[in-house]
Amino acid sequence: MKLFLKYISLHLKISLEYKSSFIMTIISQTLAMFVELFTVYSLFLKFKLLDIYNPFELLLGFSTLWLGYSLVELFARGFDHFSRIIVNGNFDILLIRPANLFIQICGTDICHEKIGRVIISLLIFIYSSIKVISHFTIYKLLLLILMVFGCVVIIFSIFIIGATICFLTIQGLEAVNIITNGTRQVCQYPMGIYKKAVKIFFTTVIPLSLVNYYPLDYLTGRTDNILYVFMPILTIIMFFISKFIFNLGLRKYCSTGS
Amino acid sequence: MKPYLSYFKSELLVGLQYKEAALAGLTTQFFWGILYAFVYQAFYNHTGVNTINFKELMCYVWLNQAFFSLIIFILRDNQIMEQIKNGTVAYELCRPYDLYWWWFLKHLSKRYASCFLRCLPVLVFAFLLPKPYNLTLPISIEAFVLFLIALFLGSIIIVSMVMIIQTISFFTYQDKGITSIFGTIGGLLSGLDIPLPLLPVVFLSVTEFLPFRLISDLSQRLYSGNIGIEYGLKSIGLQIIWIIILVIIGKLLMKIALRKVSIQGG
Repeated sequence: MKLFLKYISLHLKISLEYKSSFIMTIISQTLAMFVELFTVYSLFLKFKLLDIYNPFELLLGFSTLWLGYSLVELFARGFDHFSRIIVNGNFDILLIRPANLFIQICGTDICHEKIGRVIISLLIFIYSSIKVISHFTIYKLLLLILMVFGCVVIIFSIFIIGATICFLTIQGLEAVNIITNGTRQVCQYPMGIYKKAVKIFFTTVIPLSLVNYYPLDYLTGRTDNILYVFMPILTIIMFFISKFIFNLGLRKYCSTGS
Repeated sequence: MKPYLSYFKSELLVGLQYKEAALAGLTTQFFWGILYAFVYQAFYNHTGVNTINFKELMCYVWLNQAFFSLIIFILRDNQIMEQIKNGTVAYELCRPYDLYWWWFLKHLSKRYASCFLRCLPVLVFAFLLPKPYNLTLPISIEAFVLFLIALFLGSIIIVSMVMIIQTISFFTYQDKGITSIFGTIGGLLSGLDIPLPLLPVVFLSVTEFLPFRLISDLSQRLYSGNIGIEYGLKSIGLQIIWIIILVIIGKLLMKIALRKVSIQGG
Protein backbone atom coordinates (compact mmCIF):
# COMPACT_ATOMS: atom_id res chain seq x y z
CA MET A 1 0.00 0.00 0.00
CA LYS A 2 2.86 2.33 0.83
CA LEU A 3 4.32 1.54 -2.55
CA PHE A 4 1.08 2.47 -4.25
CA LEU A 5 0.90 5.82 -2.46
CA LYS A 6 4.41 6.52 -3.63
CA TYR A 7 3.36 5.80 -7.21
CA ILE A 8 0.40 8.14 -6.85
CA SER A 9 2.47 11.04 -5.61
CA LEU A 10 5.05 10.56 -8.36
CA HIS A 11 2.43 10.59 -11.09
CA LEU A 12 0.74 13.61 -9.56
CA LYS A 13 4.03 15.49 -9.76
CA ILE A 14 4.32 14.62 -13.44
CA SER A 15 0.80 15.83 -14.23
CA LEU A 16 1.27 19.07 -12.33
CA GLU A 17 4.26 19.97 -14.44
CA TYR A 18 1.80 20.90 -17.18
CA LYS A 19 -0.65 22.79 -15.05
CA SER A 20 -2.93 24.51 -17.53
CA SER A 21 -3.14 21.46 -19.76
CA PHE A 22 -3.93 19.34 -16.71
CA ILE A 23 -6.76 21.62 -15.63
CA MET A 24 -8.16 21.86 -19.15
CA THR A 25 -8.18 18.08 -19.44
CA ILE A 26 -10.00 17.71 -16.13
CA ILE A 27 -12.62 20.18 -17.32
CA SER A 28 -13.12 18.44 -20.63
CA GLN A 29 -13.29 15.00 -19.00
CA THR A 30 -15.94 16.19 -16.59
CA LEU A 31 -17.77 17.92 -19.39
CA ALA A 32 -17.87 14.67 -21.34
CA MET A 33 -19.59 13.02 -18.40
CA PHE A 34 -22.22 15.74 -18.28
CA VAL A 35 -22.81 15.38 -21.99
CA GLU A 36 -23.55 11.69 -21.42
CA LEU A 37 -25.87 12.55 -18.55
CA PHE A 38 -27.60 15.08 -20.76
CA THR A 39 -28.16 12.52 -23.53
CA VAL A 40 -29.58 10.01 -21.04
CA TYR A 41 -31.91 12.66 -19.66
CA SER A 42 -33.04 13.87 -23.09
CA LEU A 43 -33.81 10.34 -24.27
CA PHE A 44 -35.97 9.74 -21.20
CA LEU A 45 -37.65 13.07 -21.70
CA LYS A 46 -38.25 12.52 -25.40
CA PHE A 47 -39.68 9.03 -24.96
CA LYS A 48 -41.78 10.12 -21.98
CA LEU A 49 -40.18 7.58 -19.68
CA LEU A 50 -39.74 9.97 -16.77
CA ASP A 51 -43.24 9.12 -15.53
CA ILE A 52 -42.22 5.49 -15.17
CA TYR A 53 -38.70 5.97 -13.89
CA ASN A 54 -37.94 8.22 -10.97
CA PRO A 55 -35.35 10.71 -12.26
CA PHE A 56 -33.33 10.37 -9.06
CA GLU A 57 -33.12 6.62 -9.47
CA LEU A 58 -31.87 7.25 -12.97
CA LEU A 59 -29.28 9.61 -11.56
CA LEU A 60 -28.24 7.14 -8.88
CA GLY A 61 -27.74 4.30 -11.36
CA PHE A 62 -25.82 6.60 -13.67
CA SER A 63 -23.55 8.02 -11.00
CA THR A 64 -22.79 4.61 -9.48
CA LEU A 65 -21.56 3.41 -12.84
CA TRP A 66 -19.52 6.50 -13.62
CA LEU A 67 -18.07 6.64 -10.13
CA GLY A 68 -16.91 3.04 -10.54
CA TYR A 69 -15.47 3.70 -13.96
CA SER A 70 -13.62 6.85 -13.06
CA LEU A 71 -12.20 5.28 -9.89
CA VAL A 72 -10.83 2.33 -11.81
CA GLU A 73 -9.51 4.53 -14.59
CA LEU A 74 -7.88 6.73 -11.99
CA PHE A 75 -5.98 3.93 -10.26
CA ALA A 76 -5.73 1.08 -12.73
CA ARG A 77 -4.95 2.82 -15.97
CA GLY A 78 -1.87 0.61 -16.21
CA PHE A 79 -4.06 -2.34 -17.11
CA ASP A 80 -5.71 -0.30 -19.81
CA HIS A 81 -2.31 0.52 -21.32
CA PHE A 82 -0.94 -2.91 -20.60
CA SER A 83 0.18 -3.53 -24.19
CA ARG A 84 2.65 -0.64 -23.87
CA ILE A 85 4.30 -2.23 -20.85
CA ILE A 86 4.63 -5.50 -22.71
CA VAL A 87 5.76 -4.02 -26.02
CA ASN A 88 8.65 -2.05 -24.57
CA GLY A 89 9.74 -4.94 -22.41
CA ASN A 90 9.13 -3.19 -19.12
CA PHE A 91 6.93 -6.02 -17.93
CA ASP A 92 10.03 -8.14 -17.29
CA ILE A 93 11.28 -5.51 -14.86
CA LEU A 94 8.00 -5.63 -12.99
CA LEU A 95 8.18 -9.42 -12.79
CA ILE A 96 11.57 -9.55 -11.09
CA ARG A 97 10.75 -6.92 -8.47
CA PRO A 98 9.80 -8.32 -5.06
CA ALA A 99 6.50 -6.49 -4.90
CA ASN A 100 2.90 -7.23 -5.72
CA LEU A 101 2.52 -7.45 -9.48
CA PHE A 102 -0.96 -5.95 -9.60
CA ILE A 103 0.06 -2.90 -7.61
CA GLN A 104 3.03 -2.39 -9.85
CA ILE A 105 0.95 -2.57 -13.01
CA CYS A 106 -1.54 -0.14 -11.54
CA GLY A 107 1.33 2.14 -10.61
CA THR A 108 2.73 2.43 -14.12
CA ASP A 109 0.08 4.95 -15.04
CA ILE A 110 -2.22 6.84 -12.76
CA CYS A 111 -4.64 9.05 -14.57
CA HIS A 112 -5.15 12.04 -12.30
CA GLU A 113 -7.28 13.74 -14.92
CA LYS A 114 -10.14 11.50 -13.83
CA ILE A 115 -10.25 13.13 -10.42
CA GLY A 116 -12.82 15.63 -11.67
CA ARG A 117 -15.14 12.85 -12.70
CA VAL A 118 -14.63 11.03 -9.40
CA ILE A 119 -15.57 14.08 -7.36
CA ILE A 120 -18.53 15.14 -9.48
CA SER A 121 -19.99 11.66 -9.78
CA LEU A 122 -19.52 11.13 -6.04
CA LEU A 123 -21.45 14.32 -5.37
CA ILE A 124 -24.23 13.24 -7.72
CA PHE A 125 -24.19 9.80 -6.08
CA ILE A 126 -24.63 11.24 -2.59
CA TYR A 127 -27.25 13.77 -3.66
CA SER A 128 -29.37 11.28 -5.58
CA SER A 129 -29.14 8.62 -2.88
CA ILE A 130 -30.44 11.11 -0.32
CA LYS A 131 -33.34 11.88 -2.68
CA VAL A 132 -34.08 8.23 -3.41
CA ILE A 133 -33.94 6.87 0.14
CA SER A 134 -36.83 8.12 2.22
CA HIS A 135 -35.55 6.84 5.56
CA PHE A 136 -32.01 5.68 6.13
CA THR A 137 -31.14 2.41 7.81
CA ILE A 138 -27.73 0.97 8.45
CA TYR A 139 -28.37 -1.67 5.79
CA LYS A 140 -29.11 0.90 3.13
CA LEU A 141 -25.92 2.74 3.95
CA LEU A 142 -24.02 -0.52 3.73
CA LEU A 143 -25.64 -1.26 0.40
CA LEU A 144 -24.59 2.13 -1.01
CA ILE A 145 -20.98 1.41 -0.12
CA LEU A 146 -21.18 -2.10 -1.51
CA MET A 147 -22.65 -0.80 -4.77
CA VAL A 148 -19.63 1.38 -5.43
CA PHE A 149 -17.32 -1.39 -4.28
CA GLY A 150 -18.98 -3.95 -6.55
CA CYS A 151 -18.90 -1.59 -9.51
CA VAL A 152 -15.18 -1.01 -9.03
CA VAL A 153 -14.58 -4.75 -8.78
CA ILE A 154 -16.43 -5.51 -12.02
CA ILE A 155 -14.73 -2.83 -14.08
CA PHE A 156 -11.35 -3.69 -12.64
CA SER A 157 -11.99 -7.30 -13.66
CA ILE A 158 -12.83 -6.24 -17.21
CA PHE A 159 -9.56 -4.31 -17.32
CA ILE A 160 -7.64 -7.34 -16.09
CA ILE A 161 -9.18 -9.60 -18.71
CA GLY A 162 -8.42 -7.00 -21.36
CA ALA A 163 -4.81 -6.93 -20.23
CA THR A 164 -4.64 -10.71 -20.36
CA ILE A 165 -5.50 -10.61 -24.06
CA CYS A 166 -2.30 -8.59 -24.55
CA PHE A 167 -0.26 -11.61 -23.47
CA LEU A 168 -1.42 -13.35 -26.61
CA THR A 169 -1.61 -10.48 -29.07
CA ILE A 170 1.18 -8.19 -27.72
CA GLN A 171 -0.55 -5.33 -29.52
CA GLY A 172 -3.33 -3.61 -27.68
CA LEU A 173 -6.71 -4.44 -29.07
CA GLU A 174 -9.34 -1.93 -30.04
CA ALA A 175 -11.82 -4.61 -29.01
CA VAL A 176 -10.96 -4.18 -25.34
CA ASN A 177 -11.73 -0.50 -25.53
CA ILE A 178 -15.02 -1.30 -27.17
CA ILE A 179 -15.96 -3.64 -24.33
CA THR A 180 -15.15 -1.18 -21.56
CA ASN A 181 -16.72 1.87 -23.21
CA GLY A 182 -19.56 -0.05 -24.81
CA THR A 183 -20.55 -1.58 -21.50
CA ARG A 184 -20.66 1.83 -19.92
CA GLN A 185 -22.78 3.14 -22.77
CA VAL A 186 -25.36 0.37 -22.33
CA CYS A 187 -25.41 0.28 -18.53
CA GLN A 188 -25.79 3.98 -17.94
CA TYR A 189 -29.46 3.48 -18.78
CA PRO A 190 -31.51 1.46 -16.29
CA MET A 191 -31.67 -2.21 -17.23
CA GLY A 192 -35.47 -2.05 -17.15
CA ILE A 193 -35.68 -0.62 -20.65
CA TYR A 194 -33.88 -3.56 -22.26
CA LYS A 195 -35.07 -6.96 -23.37
CA LYS A 196 -34.62 -10.03 -21.21
CA ALA A 197 -31.50 -11.31 -23.03
CA VAL A 198 -29.64 -8.08 -22.34
CA LYS A 199 -30.67 -8.19 -18.68
CA ILE A 200 -29.45 -11.75 -18.31
CA PHE A 201 -26.13 -10.89 -19.94
CA PHE A 202 -25.54 -8.01 -17.55
CA THR A 203 -26.49 -10.14 -14.57
CA THR A 204 -24.35 -13.18 -15.29
CA VAL A 205 -21.49 -12.36 -17.68
CA ILE A 206 -20.80 -8.76 -16.73
CA PRO A 207 -22.89 -8.43 -13.56
CA LEU A 208 -23.26 -4.65 -13.60
CA SER A 209 -27.00 -4.83 -13.00
CA LEU A 210 -26.20 -6.30 -9.59
CA VAL A 211 -24.69 -2.97 -8.57
CA ASN A 212 -26.64 -0.26 -10.34
CA TYR A 213 -30.07 -1.71 -11.08
CA TYR A 214 -31.44 -4.39 -8.73
CA PRO A 215 -30.17 -2.82 -5.47
CA LEU A 216 -32.23 0.28 -6.22
CA ASP A 217 -35.34 -1.78 -5.43
CA TYR A 218 -34.13 -2.16 -1.86
CA LEU A 219 -33.06 1.46 -1.52
CA THR A 220 -36.46 2.76 -2.55
CA GLY A 221 -38.22 0.27 -0.33
CA ARG A 222 -39.91 -1.64 -3.15
CA THR A 223 -38.56 -4.80 -1.54
CA ASP A 224 -37.50 -5.68 1.99
CA ASN A 225 -35.51 -8.73 1.01
CA ILE A 226 -32.26 -8.45 2.95
CA LEU A 227 -30.45 -10.51 0.30
CA TYR A 228 -30.44 -7.47 -1.99
CA VAL A 229 -27.99 -5.77 0.34
CA PHE A 230 -25.37 -8.42 -0.21
CA MET A 231 -25.95 -8.76 -3.94
CA PRO A 232 -22.96 -6.59 -4.96
CA ILE A 233 -20.64 -8.92 -3.05
CA LEU A 234 -21.25 -11.55 -5.71
CA THR A 235 -19.10 -9.50 -8.06
CA ILE A 236 -16.06 -10.81 -6.20
CA ILE A 237 -16.55 -14.05 -8.13
CA MET A 238 -15.85 -12.18 -11.35
CA PHE A 239 -12.67 -10.75 -9.85
CA PHE A 240 -11.36 -14.20 -8.92
CA ILE A 241 -12.20 -15.57 -12.35
CA SER A 242 -10.38 -12.73 -14.07
CA LYS A 243 -7.40 -13.09 -11.76
CA PHE A 244 -7.30 -16.79 -12.54
CA ILE A 245 -7.36 -16.05 -16.28
CA PHE A 246 -4.62 -13.45 -15.84
CA ASN A 247 -2.36 -15.93 -14.06
CA LEU A 248 -3.07 -18.46 -16.77
CA GLY A 249 -1.96 -15.93 -19.37
CA LEU A 250 1.07 -15.03 -17.29
CA ARG A 251 2.29 -18.59 -17.56
CA LYS A 252 2.07 -18.39 -21.36
CA TYR A 253 3.89 -15.04 -21.43
CA CYS A 254 7.03 -14.76 -23.56
CA SER A 255 9.17 -11.70 -23.07
CA THR A 256 9.42 -9.17 -25.87
CA GLY A 257 12.44 -7.43 -24.39
CA SER A 258 15.89 -7.88 -25.82
CA MET B 1 -4.02 25.66 -57.90
CA LYS B 2 -2.00 22.82 -59.37
CA PRO B 3 0.49 22.36 -56.52
CA TYR B 4 -2.38 22.26 -54.05
CA LEU B 5 -4.12 19.53 -56.00
CA SER B 6 -1.04 17.36 -56.32
CA TYR B 7 -0.33 17.88 -52.65
CA PHE B 8 -3.84 16.74 -51.84
CA LYS B 9 -3.30 13.66 -54.00
CA SER B 10 0.01 12.71 -52.43
CA GLU B 11 -1.31 13.17 -48.90
CA LEU B 12 -4.30 11.04 -49.85
CA LEU B 13 -2.01 8.26 -51.09
CA VAL B 14 -0.01 8.39 -47.88
CA GLY B 15 -3.18 8.09 -45.86
CA LEU B 16 -4.36 5.12 -47.87
CA GLN B 17 -1.30 3.17 -46.75
CA TYR B 18 -2.61 2.72 -43.23
CA LYS B 19 -4.88 -0.19 -43.95
CA GLU B 20 -4.42 -1.95 -40.64
CA ALA B 21 -5.40 1.10 -38.65
CA ALA B 22 -8.49 1.34 -40.81
CA LEU B 23 -9.33 -2.28 -40.13
CA ALA B 24 -9.08 -1.72 -36.41
CA GLY B 25 -11.30 1.31 -36.83
CA LEU B 26 -13.83 -0.70 -38.79
CA THR B 27 -14.61 -3.09 -35.95
CA THR B 28 -15.14 -0.10 -33.70
CA GLN B 29 -17.56 1.43 -36.18
CA PHE B 30 -19.52 -1.83 -36.62
CA PHE B 31 -19.76 -2.33 -32.92
CA TRP B 32 -20.85 1.17 -32.02
CA GLY B 33 -23.45 1.13 -34.77
CA ILE B 34 -24.94 -2.09 -33.43
CA LEU B 35 -24.75 -0.81 -29.88
CA TYR B 36 -26.62 2.38 -30.70
CA ALA B 37 -29.19 0.33 -32.61
CA PHE B 38 -29.70 -1.78 -29.48
CA VAL B 39 -30.08 1.14 -27.12
CA TYR B 40 -32.41 3.14 -29.34
CA GLN B 41 -34.46 0.04 -30.09
CA ALA B 42 -35.09 -0.31 -26.38
CA PHE B 43 -36.51 3.19 -26.31
CA TYR B 44 -38.56 2.81 -29.47
CA ASN B 45 -40.09 -0.38 -28.05
CA HIS B 46 -41.64 1.80 -25.41
CA THR B 47 -43.01 4.57 -27.60
CA GLY B 48 -42.21 6.50 -30.76
CA VAL B 49 -41.28 10.13 -31.21
CA ASN B 50 -42.70 12.51 -33.76
CA THR B 51 -39.40 14.04 -34.82
CA ILE B 52 -37.77 10.94 -36.29
CA ASN B 53 -38.87 7.33 -36.82
CA PHE B 54 -36.75 4.27 -36.21
CA LYS B 55 -35.96 3.66 -39.88
CA GLU B 56 -34.67 7.20 -40.33
CA LEU B 57 -32.79 6.94 -37.09
CA MET B 58 -30.96 3.82 -38.22
CA CYS B 59 -29.91 5.60 -41.43
CA TYR B 60 -28.67 8.45 -39.26
CA VAL B 61 -26.67 6.12 -37.00
CA TRP B 62 -25.10 4.11 -39.81
CA LEU B 63 -24.19 7.10 -41.96
CA ASN B 64 -22.54 8.65 -38.91
CA GLN B 65 -20.51 5.49 -38.47
CA ALA B 66 -19.65 5.12 -42.18
CA PHE B 67 -18.42 8.69 -42.61
CA PHE B 68 -17.04 8.87 -39.10
CA SER B 69 -13.60 10.15 -40.02
CA LEU B 70 -15.06 12.90 -42.19
CA ILE B 71 -17.20 14.37 -39.47
CA ILE B 72 -15.54 13.59 -36.16
CA PHE B 73 -13.95 16.51 -34.37
CA ILE B 74 -10.56 15.22 -33.38
CA LEU B 75 -8.55 12.99 -35.67
CA ARG B 76 -6.10 11.16 -33.52
CA ASP B 77 -2.68 11.87 -35.01
CA ASN B 78 -1.89 15.50 -35.22
CA GLN B 79 1.16 16.28 -37.31
CA ILE B 80 0.62 20.00 -37.48
CA MET B 81 0.78 20.30 -33.69
CA GLU B 82 3.93 18.19 -33.71
CA GLN B 83 5.46 20.54 -36.24
CA ILE B 84 4.71 23.51 -34.04
CA LYS B 85 6.24 21.76 -31.04
CA ASN B 86 9.46 20.51 -32.63
CA GLY B 87 10.06 23.49 -34.85
CA THR B 88 9.79 21.91 -38.29
CA VAL B 89 7.04 24.41 -38.90
CA ALA B 90 9.89 26.60 -40.11
CA TYR B 91 10.14 24.52 -43.28
CA GLU B 92 6.45 24.91 -43.89
CA LEU B 93 6.80 28.67 -43.54
CA CYS B 94 9.47 28.73 -46.23
CA ARG B 95 7.19 27.22 -48.85
CA PRO B 96 5.89 29.62 -51.47
CA TYR B 97 2.30 28.64 -50.82
CA ASP B 98 -0.41 29.94 -48.60
CA LEU B 99 0.08 28.09 -45.35
CA TYR B 100 -3.58 28.21 -44.47
CA TRP B 101 -4.72 26.28 -47.55
CA TRP B 102 -1.67 24.03 -47.35
CA TRP B 103 -2.63 22.76 -43.91
CA PHE B 104 -6.27 22.85 -44.79
CA LEU B 105 -5.65 20.36 -47.57
CA LYS B 106 -3.35 18.26 -45.41
CA HIS B 107 -6.10 17.84 -42.90
CA LEU B 108 -8.85 17.35 -45.46
CA SER B 109 -6.90 14.69 -47.36
CA LYS B 110 -6.22 12.79 -44.17
CA ARG B 111 -9.92 12.69 -43.44
CA TYR B 112 -10.83 11.57 -46.95
CA ALA B 113 -8.15 8.87 -47.03
CA SER B 114 -9.39 7.45 -43.75
CA CYS B 115 -12.97 7.70 -44.97
CA PHE B 116 -12.34 5.96 -48.30
CA LEU B 117 -10.91 2.96 -46.48
CA ARG B 118 -13.75 2.71 -44.01
CA CYS B 119 -16.99 3.86 -45.50
CA LEU B 120 -17.65 1.10 -48.03
CA PRO B 121 -17.35 -1.90 -45.67
CA VAL B 122 -19.50 -0.14 -43.09
CA LEU B 123 -22.12 0.79 -45.67
CA VAL B 124 -22.27 -2.74 -47.10
CA PHE B 125 -22.43 -4.24 -43.63
CA ALA B 126 -25.21 -1.84 -42.65
CA PHE B 127 -27.22 -2.63 -45.80
CA LEU B 128 -27.04 -6.36 -45.14
CA LEU B 129 -28.27 -6.21 -41.55
CA PRO B 130 -31.72 -7.66 -40.75
CA LYS B 131 -34.72 -5.47 -41.28
CA PRO B 132 -35.33 -2.80 -38.68
CA TYR B 133 -31.63 -2.27 -37.97
CA ASN B 134 -30.42 -1.83 -41.52
CA LEU B 135 -29.43 1.15 -43.61
CA THR B 136 -32.09 1.72 -46.27
CA LEU B 137 -31.68 3.28 -49.70
CA PRO B 138 -31.97 7.07 -49.92
CA ILE B 139 -35.49 8.38 -50.11
CA SER B 140 -35.04 9.85 -53.61
CA ILE B 141 -32.32 10.67 -56.11
CA GLU B 142 -32.58 14.41 -55.44
CA ALA B 143 -32.20 13.75 -51.74
CA PHE B 144 -29.16 11.60 -52.39
CA VAL B 145 -27.48 14.27 -54.49
CA LEU B 146 -28.18 16.87 -51.82
CA PHE B 147 -26.87 14.44 -49.22
CA LEU B 148 -23.55 14.18 -51.06
CA ILE B 149 -23.25 17.94 -51.46
CA ALA B 150 -24.15 18.56 -47.82
CA LEU B 151 -21.71 15.92 -46.61
CA PHE B 152 -18.89 17.42 -48.69
CA LEU B 153 -19.62 20.96 -47.49
CA GLY B 154 -19.91 19.58 -43.96
CA SER B 155 -16.39 18.18 -44.17
CA ILE B 156 -15.16 21.61 -45.30
CA ILE B 157 -16.88 23.22 -42.30
CA ILE B 158 -15.32 20.84 -39.80
CA VAL B 159 -11.83 21.33 -41.27
CA SER B 160 -12.16 25.11 -41.20
CA MET B 161 -13.23 24.84 -37.55
CA VAL B 162 -10.27 22.62 -36.75
CA MET B 163 -7.98 25.13 -38.46
CA ILE B 164 -9.17 27.82 -36.06
CA ILE B 165 -8.61 25.60 -33.04
CA GLN B 166 -5.18 24.66 -34.28
CA THR B 167 -4.17 28.23 -34.87
CA ILE B 168 -5.10 29.00 -31.29
CA SER B 169 -2.67 26.32 -30.17
CA PHE B 170 0.00 28.35 -31.93
CA PHE B 171 -0.30 30.75 -29.02
CA THR B 172 -0.49 28.20 -26.23
CA TYR B 173 1.85 25.47 -27.53
CA GLN B 174 -0.47 22.78 -26.26
CA ASP B 175 -3.59 21.57 -27.89
CA LYS B 176 -4.81 18.67 -25.78
CA GLY B 177 -7.06 20.65 -23.48
CA ILE B 178 -8.64 22.99 -26.01
CA THR B 179 -9.28 20.37 -28.64
CA SER B 180 -10.84 17.93 -26.23
CA ILE B 181 -13.21 20.53 -24.80
CA PHE B 182 -14.06 21.61 -28.33
CA GLY B 183 -14.54 17.97 -29.35
CA THR B 184 -16.89 17.22 -26.45
CA ILE B 185 -19.12 20.21 -27.05
CA GLY B 186 -19.00 19.79 -30.81
CA GLY B 187 -19.88 16.11 -30.57
CA LEU B 188 -23.07 16.96 -28.75
CA LEU B 189 -24.05 19.93 -30.92
CA SER B 190 -23.42 18.16 -34.22
CA GLY B 191 -25.41 15.03 -33.48
CA LEU B 192 -22.48 12.64 -33.24
CA ASP B 193 -23.23 11.63 -29.65
CA ILE B 194 -26.96 11.44 -30.07
CA PRO B 195 -29.03 12.27 -33.16
CA LEU B 196 -30.22 15.84 -32.81
CA PRO B 197 -33.93 15.07 -33.38
CA LEU B 198 -33.86 13.11 -30.11
CA LEU B 199 -32.81 16.13 -28.07
CA PRO B 200 -35.22 18.49 -26.27
CA VAL B 201 -36.89 21.10 -28.47
CA VAL B 202 -35.44 24.02 -26.51
CA PHE B 203 -31.95 22.74 -27.21
CA LEU B 204 -32.67 22.38 -30.92
CA SER B 205 -33.60 26.02 -31.32
CA VAL B 206 -30.13 26.85 -30.04
CA THR B 207 -28.33 24.50 -32.42
CA GLU B 208 -30.40 25.68 -35.39
CA PHE B 209 -28.20 28.70 -36.02
CA LEU B 210 -24.85 27.23 -35.06
CA PRO B 211 -22.59 25.71 -37.70
CA PHE B 212 -22.29 22.38 -35.86
CA ARG B 213 -25.48 20.80 -37.12
CA LEU B 214 -24.43 21.58 -40.70
CA ILE B 215 -21.48 19.20 -40.40
CA SER B 216 -23.29 15.89 -40.40
CA ASP B 217 -26.79 16.23 -39.00
CA LEU B 218 -28.05 17.98 -42.13
CA SER B 219 -26.71 15.44 -44.64
CA GLN B 220 -27.80 12.44 -42.58
CA ARG B 221 -31.34 13.69 -42.28
CA LEU B 222 -31.53 14.61 -45.96
CA TYR B 223 -30.62 11.05 -46.90
CA SER B 224 -33.49 9.42 -45.05
CA GLY B 225 -36.01 12.12 -45.92
CA ASN B 226 -36.34 13.30 -42.34
CA ILE B 227 -36.12 16.86 -43.68
CA GLY B 228 -37.50 18.05 -47.00
CA ILE B 229 -35.61 19.14 -50.12
CA GLU B 230 -36.56 22.77 -49.74
CA TYR B 231 -35.29 23.03 -46.17
CA GLY B 232 -32.19 21.14 -47.30
CA LEU B 233 -31.44 23.66 -50.05
CA LYS B 234 -31.80 26.53 -47.59
CA SER B 235 -29.43 24.83 -45.18
CA ILE B 236 -26.89 24.22 -47.91
CA GLY B 237 -26.91 27.96 -48.56
CA LEU B 238 -26.29 28.42 -44.84
CA GLN B 239 -23.41 25.98 -45.07
CA ILE B 240 -21.71 28.11 -47.73
CA ILE B 241 -22.15 31.25 -45.66
CA TRP B 242 -20.62 29.56 -42.62
CA ILE B 243 -17.69 28.26 -44.66
CA ILE B 244 -16.90 31.80 -45.81
CA ILE B 245 -17.14 33.14 -42.24
CA LEU B 246 -15.02 30.36 -40.74
CA VAL B 247 -12.33 30.57 -43.41
CA ILE B 248 -12.04 34.34 -43.00
CA ILE B 249 -11.70 33.99 -39.22
CA GLY B 250 -9.17 31.20 -39.66
CA LYS B 251 -7.04 33.15 -42.11
CA LEU B 252 -7.09 36.28 -39.97
CA LEU B 253 -6.09 34.31 -36.89
CA MET B 254 -3.28 32.62 -38.76
CA LYS B 255 -1.99 35.96 -40.00
CA ILE B 256 -1.76 37.17 -36.41
CA ALA B 257 -0.24 33.90 -35.27
CA LEU B 258 2.43 33.88 -37.95
CA ARG B 259 3.48 37.37 -37.01
CA LYS B 260 4.16 36.14 -33.49
CA VAL B 261 5.52 32.73 -34.29
CA SER B 262 8.77 31.74 -32.66
CA ILE B 263 10.48 28.63 -33.83
CA GLN B 264 11.02 25.93 -31.24
CA GLY B 265 14.11 23.80 -31.32
CA GLY B 266 17.48 24.41 -32.90
